[in-house]
Amino acid sequence: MIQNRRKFIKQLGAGAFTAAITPQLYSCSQKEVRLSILHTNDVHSQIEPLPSDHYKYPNGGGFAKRAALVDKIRQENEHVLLFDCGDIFQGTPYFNFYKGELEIKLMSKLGYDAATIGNHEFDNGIEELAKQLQKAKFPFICSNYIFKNTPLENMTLPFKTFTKGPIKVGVMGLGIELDGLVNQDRFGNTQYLNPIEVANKTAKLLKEEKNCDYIIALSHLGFKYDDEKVSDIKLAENTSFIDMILGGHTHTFMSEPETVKNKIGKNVVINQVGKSGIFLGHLDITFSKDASNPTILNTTYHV
Amino acid sequence: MLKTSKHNTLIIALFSLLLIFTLGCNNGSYQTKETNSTTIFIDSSYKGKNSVVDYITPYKDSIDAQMYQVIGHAARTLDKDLPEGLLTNFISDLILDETRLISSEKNLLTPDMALMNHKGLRTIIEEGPITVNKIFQLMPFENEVVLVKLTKDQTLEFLNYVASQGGDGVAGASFTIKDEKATGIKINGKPFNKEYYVVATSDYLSKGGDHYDVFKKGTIIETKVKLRDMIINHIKKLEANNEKANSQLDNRIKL
Repeated sequence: MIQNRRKFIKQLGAGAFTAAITPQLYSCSQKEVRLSILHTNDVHSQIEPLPSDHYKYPNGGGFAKRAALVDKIRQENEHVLLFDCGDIFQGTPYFNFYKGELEIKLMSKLGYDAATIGNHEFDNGIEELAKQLQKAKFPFICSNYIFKNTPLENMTLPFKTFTKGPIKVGVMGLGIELDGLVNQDRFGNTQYLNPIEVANKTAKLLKEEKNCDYIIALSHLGFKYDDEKVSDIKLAENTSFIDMILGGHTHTFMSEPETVKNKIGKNVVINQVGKSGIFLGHLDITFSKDASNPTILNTTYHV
Repeated sequence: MLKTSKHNTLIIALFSLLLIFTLGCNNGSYQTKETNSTTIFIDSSYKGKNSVVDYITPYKDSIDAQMYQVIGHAARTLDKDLPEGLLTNFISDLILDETRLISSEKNLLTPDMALMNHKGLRTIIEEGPITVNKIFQLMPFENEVVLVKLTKDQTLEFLNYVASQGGDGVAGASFTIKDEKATGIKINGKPFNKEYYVVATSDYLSKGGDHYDVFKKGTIIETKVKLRDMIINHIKKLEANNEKANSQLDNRIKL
């Protein structure tokens, strides 16, 4: 029913202009629900801001500033979700010394709602990763890694739904093929499943059985590749029910999201925010609904 | 990243991508559409959250204390040179010694030689105290030590490549560079006549890094020990024995 009533409208050309963080809603705002999606990826243990002599982003990033920014956005918006798309670990001595503990504890403090696992999470081996994940106050969502008979068994979720006002959001997590990227002794018995097959199954389940209004994939597959390797672009093109892909791995700085037609001709929004936590992605989705009916009539996005 | 960073000159960009659809209020027809893609730069007025700064501080202080901890002393300045240098001799010798210990512990093949490329060492070690931070600067990479088993012919190809580059950080082998080739090769003082040789080096070089392509033909055995940890532990051991980090230019590679 929901799908039938959903109608995607034609996109306009994207025009970038400066605006306040809080978007202006139209007059019938009582019929609308705005969902704010915040996201990071490839933070790579950047606990403190980058050095002041950094060649490109002096003083960029850092958890303390991100915390203040997220607080401000949460004050100004009712429905906020904060996600990370993997490679939380590795890159500064904080990881060498504390094995990821501080990263996980700070993410818990910032109130991350969920994250997915990147390849660098395995850098100290799966046993150590399991130890660190125990310290997290937020779930790790991994749909295409099977951790049966590993220390991570039962420590991750295959998907999760979040209810924000009348909106039910389904979230999956998609990891990159570890073979060839991570030494086998680091990921142990982790099984990698084809992300596209898993994504289609999971999205269908989220849409049809869990009645989600909006489906987001947290991906550490990488934005796009020259070869046949599975990427966010390929994922978008070959799936049917994913609305938004938040990406990572390729450290892609995107000045605006990419929109790709999925298998059934609907738009999928893909975004990624570089690395090191220098940027925080903020995607506001405004759902309009019939006043007499809490289900969503229409969703569209425009960048 | 270990320097104290001031929060008052910080810039974060916030991508605010507003995805808005509005349903017409009166007739149910689809109106739209507010669309924009915004980058907000958070300027110097933006302070970090104090409670988060406070939470990080003890970790930072502890890291700084550990990073600036003196783990040993250098008898003299160990710097880089070709065909051999004090620094590359020091590091390749310690890789050979330490990997031999690991090999006997873990029952792996015993290395005959070690290679540390001089380009992979990112600073020099000055005479006097050595800090952990110095070793992080010297070896910022997360490389691991591996063993590469080579046939005699592949070993010759490896040493010839070293010769063609005018030398590098080699331990366990000695030779003279002649017409960009290795001649008069001795391995640990013995004639070069074994069927196989084992080279201890970094996983980076074993995968053909710095054009050491010959290693890709060999058999790789992992030790799972980080090169940086190996260097730190070796210098700590020297210090515990009241020895200083030192090496000699012993003509292992002659022109």
